[in-house]
Amino acid sequence: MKTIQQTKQSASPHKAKSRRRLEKLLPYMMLFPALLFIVVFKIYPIISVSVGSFFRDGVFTFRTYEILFGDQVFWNSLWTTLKMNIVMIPLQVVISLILALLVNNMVRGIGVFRSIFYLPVTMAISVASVTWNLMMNVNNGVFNSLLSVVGIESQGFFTSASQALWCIVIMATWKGCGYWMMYLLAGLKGVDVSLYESATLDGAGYFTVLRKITLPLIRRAMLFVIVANTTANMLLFAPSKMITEGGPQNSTNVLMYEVYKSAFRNGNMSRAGAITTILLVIIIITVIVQFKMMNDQDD
Amino acid sequence: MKKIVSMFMAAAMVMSLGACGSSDAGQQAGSSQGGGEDGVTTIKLMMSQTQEPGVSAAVEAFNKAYEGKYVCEADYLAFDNVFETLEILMSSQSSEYDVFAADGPNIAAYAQRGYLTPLTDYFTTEEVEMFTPPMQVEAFYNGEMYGAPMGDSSLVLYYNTALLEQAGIDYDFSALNGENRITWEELVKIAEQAQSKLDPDGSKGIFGIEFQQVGRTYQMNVLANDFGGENIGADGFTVDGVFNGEPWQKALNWYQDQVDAGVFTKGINASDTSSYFMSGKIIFYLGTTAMPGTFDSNGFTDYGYTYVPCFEGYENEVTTSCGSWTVGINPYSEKTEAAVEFIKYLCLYDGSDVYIDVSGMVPAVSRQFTDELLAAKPYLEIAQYEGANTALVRAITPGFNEYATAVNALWENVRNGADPAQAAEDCISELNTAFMEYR
Repeated sequence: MKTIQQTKQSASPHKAKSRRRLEKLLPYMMLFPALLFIVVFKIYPIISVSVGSFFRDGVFTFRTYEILFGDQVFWNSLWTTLKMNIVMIPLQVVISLILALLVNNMVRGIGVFRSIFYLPVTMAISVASVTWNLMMNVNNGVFNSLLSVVGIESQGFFTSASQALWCIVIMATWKGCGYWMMYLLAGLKGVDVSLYESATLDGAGYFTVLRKITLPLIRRAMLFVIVANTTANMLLFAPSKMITEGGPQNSTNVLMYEVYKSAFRNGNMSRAGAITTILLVIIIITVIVQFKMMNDQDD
Repeated sequence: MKKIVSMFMAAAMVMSLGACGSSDAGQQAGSSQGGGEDGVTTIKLMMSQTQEPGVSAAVEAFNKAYEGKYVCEADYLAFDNVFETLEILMSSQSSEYDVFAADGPNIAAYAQRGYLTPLTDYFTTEEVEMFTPPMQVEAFYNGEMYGAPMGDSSLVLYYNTALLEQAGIDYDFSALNGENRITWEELVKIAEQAQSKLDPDGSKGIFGIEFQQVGRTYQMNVLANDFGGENIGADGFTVDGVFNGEPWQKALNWYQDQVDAGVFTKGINASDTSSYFMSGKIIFYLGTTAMPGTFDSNGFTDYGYTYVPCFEGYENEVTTSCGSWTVGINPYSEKTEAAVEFIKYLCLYDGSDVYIDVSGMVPAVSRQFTDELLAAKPYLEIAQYEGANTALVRAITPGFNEYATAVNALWENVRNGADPAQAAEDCISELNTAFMEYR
């Protein structure tokens, strides 16, 4: 009897221990299938591409990077990518935030506005590119027609080396802001309304509430939008391919388009891999800085 | 620790999103079929959709002629996808297709990369000599034959008869021939005269002249060639001294002047020019001899055609673009014998006749310039003359893709207002770096 009792007593902590271990492992087990897919279909190809950039004809070499770093087209392309994103990322985040704040108001018919702002997201980037190219056509585009009505001379838009990149920025912002707006709106919906009411009672103005309550409380949504927006925009190349082919004068030749040209036009997988690796490093550094800045704010 | 974990997670997320953003891996073709139990060998062909009417008719004829022995199954891909798909398949050493379309100027590049089986051993000297001289040049690289030309192309000057009549311009184009061409200078004058009558304030958007393939080396280089300029140095890599040489600079400056004057178009892509010509927005149109087929299918009949212009004082330098699709054999194919039989049928014998008849392409085989063909397609007389006298194949270089991308951009940049001298220097610098890969 005593022996049985002793066994029961010793089995209980053992059972509890294994249950605790199982509970600890459970999230990882649940995550495992998704992680497996990410590793096989995303992480592995990226590593494979990066490793491939160090091989030419099966021999390990830095030759691809040597040629790349001496290539003016690559440096111009890098600068174009950075220039475009330095302007586009903050622009899109700010506009998305403004839109989210606007459509967060509970007024009659707000759903219609949300749908209108979201509508460009439903359009494929290729379709959007073709449409904007038609609208901004130098000969008979609607924008030039409107400009001529107000007495402004016809603009080159996508055919102008000084305007083409910014036309792409406008197009991508029009296309992307509705998407990011939805994430920020979700963040705004998660903020307790009573906090606004208390702040208003305490006499806080709109911008004070925005700065002291809204923005800190949607920090996580903001972080996601900033990181995902950075990644998406750094990889944007459809307008460069479909509208300008990187021109005029390489003014829209972003790194991703350079990757596309190297890999699929010129069959130079090694160069494409090298540029992809560099682009990836830039994105990772940018995102780490963004994370750090947001965490510092949090501290 | 928490921060390190969060940074690692951030990096993983970025890598994950980065992979999401990568481009489509191209179209996957259907499965290949080997020799069946019935002894029939199936070969798979990858072809550009632009050649579908002619090639599908030839494939049908092949399947009938070789019934019980060979069957050809063809996939037709959009023009741009042909190049991308080929790069993807061949870089993974795929045997998906036994025979594939290779655009003529890409022969050297594909041969260099090992994408093509040398055909020299499969074609007798007599068979090689059946091709017209420019097509023989295009088919060979480093003394080996790699592609069999299905057809050729040539450049013709089309004009809109209705617009010229409306403008009251009475020019006797029928008096022109290969030895007595209109000059570019005269053509510009006529175009400007017509534009000033038809569209005095420019509100109708009528342009004077345009190339069918505006912004593409295939046709645009003719301007520089007409001043005596080369496409590339003899070694297939030298561009310094070519684009910044006198002939090219003259051509680039002349072209920019005409764009600025509104004679040539701006902001119109190569894919749209035929619509502009057929809708009466372009008066003179330099297009291939395949264009009448497009005109006919669109019910457009107000056109005439003549020989391409030459520059005043450079009458003997006149050149015309040529070349077209060739077919080659995948080195990873295990059905080489059937593939050789097919490409000979398609490019030299009965299938070639079917292809030329249906496609409207210029024959790549000399025997096909028959009286019947010339009577049915009189514009091919011009093609025959140009093929024998003025046709100049595109740059022969293993880096043709890089060359085409850079030179297309050069023409497009000059069209959009870039300084021709600077644009040429930029192009040279870009190509010098690109060609380092091949040296």
